[in-house]
Amino acid sequence: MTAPLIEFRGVGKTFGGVTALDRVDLTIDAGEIYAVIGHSGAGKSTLVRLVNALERPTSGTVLVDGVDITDLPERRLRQVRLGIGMVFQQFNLLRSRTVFGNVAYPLKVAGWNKADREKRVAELLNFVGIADRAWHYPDQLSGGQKQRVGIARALATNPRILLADESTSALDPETTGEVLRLLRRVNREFGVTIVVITHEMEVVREIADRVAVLQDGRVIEQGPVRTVFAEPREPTTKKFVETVLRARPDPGDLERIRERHPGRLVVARVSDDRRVGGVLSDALGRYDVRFEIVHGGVKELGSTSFGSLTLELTGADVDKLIADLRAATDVEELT
Amino acid sequence: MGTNWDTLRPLLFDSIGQTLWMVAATLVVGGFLGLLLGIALYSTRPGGILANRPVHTVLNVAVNIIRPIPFIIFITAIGPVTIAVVGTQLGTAAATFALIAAATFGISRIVEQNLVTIDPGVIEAARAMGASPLRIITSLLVPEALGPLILGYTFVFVAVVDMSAVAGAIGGGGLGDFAIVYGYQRFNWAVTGVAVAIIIVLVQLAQFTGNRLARRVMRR
Repeated sequence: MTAPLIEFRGVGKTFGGVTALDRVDLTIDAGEIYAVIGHSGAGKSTLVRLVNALERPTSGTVLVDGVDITDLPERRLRQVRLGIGMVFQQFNLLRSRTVFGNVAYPLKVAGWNKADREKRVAELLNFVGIADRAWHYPDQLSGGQKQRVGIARALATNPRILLADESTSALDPETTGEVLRLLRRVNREFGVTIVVITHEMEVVREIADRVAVLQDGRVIEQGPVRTVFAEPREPTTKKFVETVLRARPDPGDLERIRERHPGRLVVARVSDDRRVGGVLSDALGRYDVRFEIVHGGVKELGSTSFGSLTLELTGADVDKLIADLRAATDVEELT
Repeated sequence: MGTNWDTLRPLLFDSIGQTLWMVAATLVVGGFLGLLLGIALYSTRPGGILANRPVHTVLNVAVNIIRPIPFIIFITAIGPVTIAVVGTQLGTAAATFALIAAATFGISRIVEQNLVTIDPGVIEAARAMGASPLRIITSLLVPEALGPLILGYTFVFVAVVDMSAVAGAIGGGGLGDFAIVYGYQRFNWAVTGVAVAIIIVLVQLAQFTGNRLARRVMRR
């Protein structure tokens, strides 16, 4: 087992008496995409800024690549920061510089010569697919294009770590998907460890390997994304998972469903190892039942899929079907 | 009463030269010192890239003490310092020194105000890249705020032309002095009118140039 790339040991941070983070323990391994999810004010932004020491912890220790950066002097920190890229919700591009100038900026800071800078910038702009906009200014770009520039800029000095602070929150869903896929490529092709800060579970589902749920400055739950989606323990986590899976109809949905579907309603959890479809197929031959799918959905999560379906069941043998479903998966009847 | 333009014309040209000299020297030297002082004010403020409360407080109070002094009083009150630096407290050079001193403090506020409008996120991004405060100041602050700064300096140009009219009080000459001595005090409205017209043209040219430059920099 290798040492983690980023480690938080009992990290606390207060701003003038207000606690932003409280005894946070985290380990992030090299090569993974680690998501931190929480509502606004949960302390996510503070947490990510401790990794590149834009903020200093009030208590506890932050280690990056084995180095304790908690008390490093500013001059040494600048060296550490060269190995950590960061992308922002509002992109934070320099308006006075072109796309090329923005991506070249960190290279200048790192002391690259002109020829190397030009070569590297061209490479990066090609990678993020925005080479044709090299001489445009940020004001002339769309949100998605700006974030591509932001990502190219963050990758310029070949960092091992990329911090993405709500990097898709200012983008529309389609552009969000493009940017997330780009981050995925950064992770796979360059092996860059990515820390994703978000308030959207959809983002976690789409790219993260592991996730920590932050609430009121504390990590209330963490683990592999698949586990957290499958077995959320905390109420906050459950709510986050629901935003993606729409597991059961909310009261408004239920009322509308009831108007059109007088039969018995059950919610059945669906995943690769729970054969809901099989049970339903078998039932049609054996029992006097009919079913209608009235709500729900199934999502991909890494190499597996899961979700939930709300079914309207009618016929004489509904009880038998429900018993079979219960044997195969979690079933909840809506009354 | 006729106006003897043959005697007045060389005096008028001298006055124009004096005004241009005073304004140009003030803008260059005071503009530069004001830029430094403004950057210092901005950088040392709480949460700034060189946050330093004692330094910020001292600078802030100094600027607040100097700036509200009416220039006609300032130009005489600074006399002892002027003598120490320029060697005399009379004449165009003495007036220029007073102008530079006053403008430095005035400009520093305008610079500070324009720097404050820079998105703090951009500065945070530069910090995250490992940029030092000095690099942020030289390569980011001024370029990012250049458009508003040009408009600010255009405003300063007009203010300095205005202030330079007071130079006559310590024998500094200039268009203001010319208008008062040969126009106002001799009840010669034509002379006053000519001086005013020249000042208007000067100001219009500066404003026009400033606006164009700023628009070009801001690409709007």
